[in-house]
Amino acid sequence: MASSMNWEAARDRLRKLREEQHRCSDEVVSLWEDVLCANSYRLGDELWMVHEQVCIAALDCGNKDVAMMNLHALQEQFPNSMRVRRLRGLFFESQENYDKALKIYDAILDIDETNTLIRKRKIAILKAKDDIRGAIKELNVYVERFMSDYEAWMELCDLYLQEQDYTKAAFCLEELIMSNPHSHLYHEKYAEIKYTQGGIENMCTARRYFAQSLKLNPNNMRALYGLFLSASNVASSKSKDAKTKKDNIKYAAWAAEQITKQYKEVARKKEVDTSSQLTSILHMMDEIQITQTS
Amino acid sequence: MAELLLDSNIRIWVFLPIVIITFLVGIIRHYATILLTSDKKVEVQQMSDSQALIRSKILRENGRFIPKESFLMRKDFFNNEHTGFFNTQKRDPVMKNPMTVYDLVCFYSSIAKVPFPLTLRFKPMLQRGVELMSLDASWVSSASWYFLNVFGLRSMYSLILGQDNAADQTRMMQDQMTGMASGMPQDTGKAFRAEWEALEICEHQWALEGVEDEIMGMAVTPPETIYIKSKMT
Amino acid sequence: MGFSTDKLCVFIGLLSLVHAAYSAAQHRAYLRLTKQEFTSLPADVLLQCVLSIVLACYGIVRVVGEFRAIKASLELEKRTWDTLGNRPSFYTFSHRGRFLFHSG
Repeated sequence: MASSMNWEAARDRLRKLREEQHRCSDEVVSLWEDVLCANSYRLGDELWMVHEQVCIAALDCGNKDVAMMNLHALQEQFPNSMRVRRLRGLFFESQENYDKALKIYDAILDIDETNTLIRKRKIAILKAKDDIRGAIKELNVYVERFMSDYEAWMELCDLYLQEQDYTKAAFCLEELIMSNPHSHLYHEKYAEIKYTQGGIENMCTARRYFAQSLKLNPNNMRALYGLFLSASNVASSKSKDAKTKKDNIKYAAWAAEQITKQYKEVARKKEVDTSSQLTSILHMMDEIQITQTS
Repeated sequence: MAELLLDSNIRIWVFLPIVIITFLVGIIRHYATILLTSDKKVEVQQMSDSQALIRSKILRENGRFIPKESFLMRKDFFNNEHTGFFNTQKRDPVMKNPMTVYDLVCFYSSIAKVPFPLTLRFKPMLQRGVELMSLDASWVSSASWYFLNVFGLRSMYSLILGQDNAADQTRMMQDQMTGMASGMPQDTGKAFRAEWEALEICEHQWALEGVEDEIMGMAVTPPETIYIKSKMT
Repeated sequence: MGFSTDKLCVFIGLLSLVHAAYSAAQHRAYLRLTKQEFTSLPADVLLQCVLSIVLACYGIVRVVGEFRAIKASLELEKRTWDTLGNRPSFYTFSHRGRFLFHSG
């Protein structure tokens, strides 16, 4: 499939993947092998970024030869570059030769203390060795120094989730929400963490954040389900007053209505028969649905 | 008042050179910055401080999207009297040395006329260094002409050199940091103080109050949510 | 910097604008010398002024950056967690990709 593309389309596709940070490593490697390797002289200055991108993708795919080829090309062009040395370190990491990689990284940090990418690689090595606690500790030291590095906060959130430490994961995600308040995905993930934590207050917070996520993106199905579930949970709890219960039943009913509407819309647009899915969903909702008492 | 008769040599040898010099200095500064940034060594401390300031600024701007307790937790981290970040970190103040062509230009203490009439209001702006009450406001002194050029050519630079060019001197003249890697321009203590004050007076107003009612269309909706509502119905 | 038709547009537009302004100033000076009333600028100066503004604006719009949607959430709506949640600096390679994708 990739061989039917002309080199310009391949170059544009690689550019898009690079800019939007997609991790489609097999596609990248096949684009390189089939199309761009022969046409590399046409890429101009972009060639070096493409080399780096293909090298990392090849490491992802376990394709040592392609990775070495790209790495050699970069080493020839930029013999003293920190960036290329980092790629060498990545190569050793993919071979699970962590000691060699660490030696390279420590040497780079001796020369340039402020190189944040290398510090992050050392943490990634801990992660690859499955030492999650150690990685968390190092990452904490890192974010204390470099407080605005949102990638690090996202990574820390993920590590805490792996350790099931939900309070701290929520803290990290709050940083991310503040950095990008218009992203419906951050709000939704935060709501999911609050929902998992459980407890009435967290459930109310979760419901609010699901609603906010819907406000930013009305087509977010996960948030609709989340709103339905969290509202139902609050409505069925014993500790809240009648007015809150009524409100929550209202929210849950509205969410259920929106969900069924979306399914019907999809059925109509794509002419797919979703009736069986719809009935099972309605059954599920009836089971969870709180009937209004007194 | 009577027209002042000036030597037209002034126009040729003072005002045009000021325009040309200012413009070219800007271009040179842009390229010099590009060449020199690779050699610049930034301290970890500087990077760390500038990132702390960025985080505090974002907390002030977007703190209303996180729950109140979280906001107060972070505010306390920065501003607590005994253990707050801005109160416990001490930095040595260093003098700034601004690099301008101002001194060279002020050797020219001459004036020339702008080809359109101006009101008296422009007098203090345009006639720095020339203390004459009866002088018509259309006469511009070379010092103020220099400043006019610096500010006016900023937009020319963004046209010619593209966005984010380094010839923009006003950014340098302001007391703010311009990004993570550039580090603090030497006045960290003052910046921390300013940030502490700004954060101290910041209040938390949760943006998510009543958001469920908003999306269900029950509350009075501001125009933005009406757009979203029509998507959902 | 590089040469492009858009930058040429801006340059010509601005040059022509300056020329039109100079012509207008000259016209007024001429009228003052011949002691005539100033009613309006000659049509060609006006036309040149308007055309040069239009040309310069068109060139500027093309030269300066890309247009983006006003609502930030519209752009973000299309991204999924697959890409948003990627952290390229922290990629590790101890996953199944090694065996799934490598044919050799």
